[in-house]
Amino acid sequence: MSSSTKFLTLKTCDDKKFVLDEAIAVRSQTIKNMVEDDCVSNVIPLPNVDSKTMTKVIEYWKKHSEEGISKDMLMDFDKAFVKVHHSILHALILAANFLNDKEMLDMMCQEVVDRIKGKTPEEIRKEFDIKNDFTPEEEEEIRKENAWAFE
Amino acid sequence: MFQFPHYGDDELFLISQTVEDIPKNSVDLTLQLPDHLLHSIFSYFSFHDLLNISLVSKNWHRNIPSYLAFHFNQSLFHEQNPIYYTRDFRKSVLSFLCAFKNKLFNAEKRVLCILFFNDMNIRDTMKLLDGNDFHEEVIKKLYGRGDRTCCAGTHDKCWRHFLKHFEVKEEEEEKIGQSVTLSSSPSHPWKVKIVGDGKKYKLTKLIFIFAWQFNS
Repeated sequence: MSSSTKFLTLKTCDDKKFVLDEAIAVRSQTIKNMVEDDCVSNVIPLPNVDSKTMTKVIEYWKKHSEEGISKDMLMDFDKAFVKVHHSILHALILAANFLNDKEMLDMMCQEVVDRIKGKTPEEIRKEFDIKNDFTPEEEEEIRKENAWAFE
Repeated sequence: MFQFPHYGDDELFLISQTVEDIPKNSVDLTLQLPDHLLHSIFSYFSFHDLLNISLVSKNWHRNIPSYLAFHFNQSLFHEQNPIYYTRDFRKSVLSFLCAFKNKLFNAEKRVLCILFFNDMNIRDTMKLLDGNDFHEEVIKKLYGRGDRTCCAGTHDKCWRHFLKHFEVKEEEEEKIGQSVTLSSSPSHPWKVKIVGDGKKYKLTKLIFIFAWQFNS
């Protein structure tokens, strides 16, 4: 390990602090920009991320920064990582968006896509706890709108 | 249990998700996602999925891109001289797209999906693309501009400034020979059918997805 290993302190919106190797933290483009602009004298505030979500993010970053980890192992890790309740998935997407970690964001969005694909509207609503706020008339209207494509 | 380094606080951060972690009153996933993320998620879907998505809730319906799916059947051109059929097929696709120009222009968010049903060699279809910048040609046809010189700073920007996303997806599908609708709309009924023979065909679908937007 290099003698110049630097640690950064990240503070989440619920005032929890995380000390993290800078080399890992810069997976976040947002943090990387801060480091490069030299504005990280002490604590980096993450006003949009809570500690529970940040814990997951760091778990992901650490795994993806491990030396000598095989592609297969990472794939297994990713697969298990995204299998969370949709509210956590949602929080992770917002966090990855704020932290600007494109790789992680793409993976989480892909998971949302996979959960929607091939499902009926009712099944999708169930998957994400969404209320149906259409009247039957409105629903019919949308079906009509799109009917030409199914003729 | 794995533990992160921490600081001035005895809190342990648990990695694994437990039942208590799940909030009781979970909210609509999309209500709080920024528009650009929603659009990027919805851009992955086929037309059929998008119809289901648009029926989920008002919020989802508002956020789906206008999605225009055109199906072109390359095998219809196989009767012709093989040297020309890809060229003719290509021509017909482009002229069809020109005919639909207005519909494309009026769509609020433009995502165009072109499906190539190709029961021949996939390489024949790929040849169609090789060195031809197919997507550029389509949009050039639609917008009448194709020069590579950048037009930034002028009001009359070329399509490249608006193209947000282009991709080619490949999907395989088994299909039983039957009537295939090329395309139709209430105002432009335009159909070509192949008579079914009940045989199973392996179809390779190449799906071209263009997404572009004029004003953010």
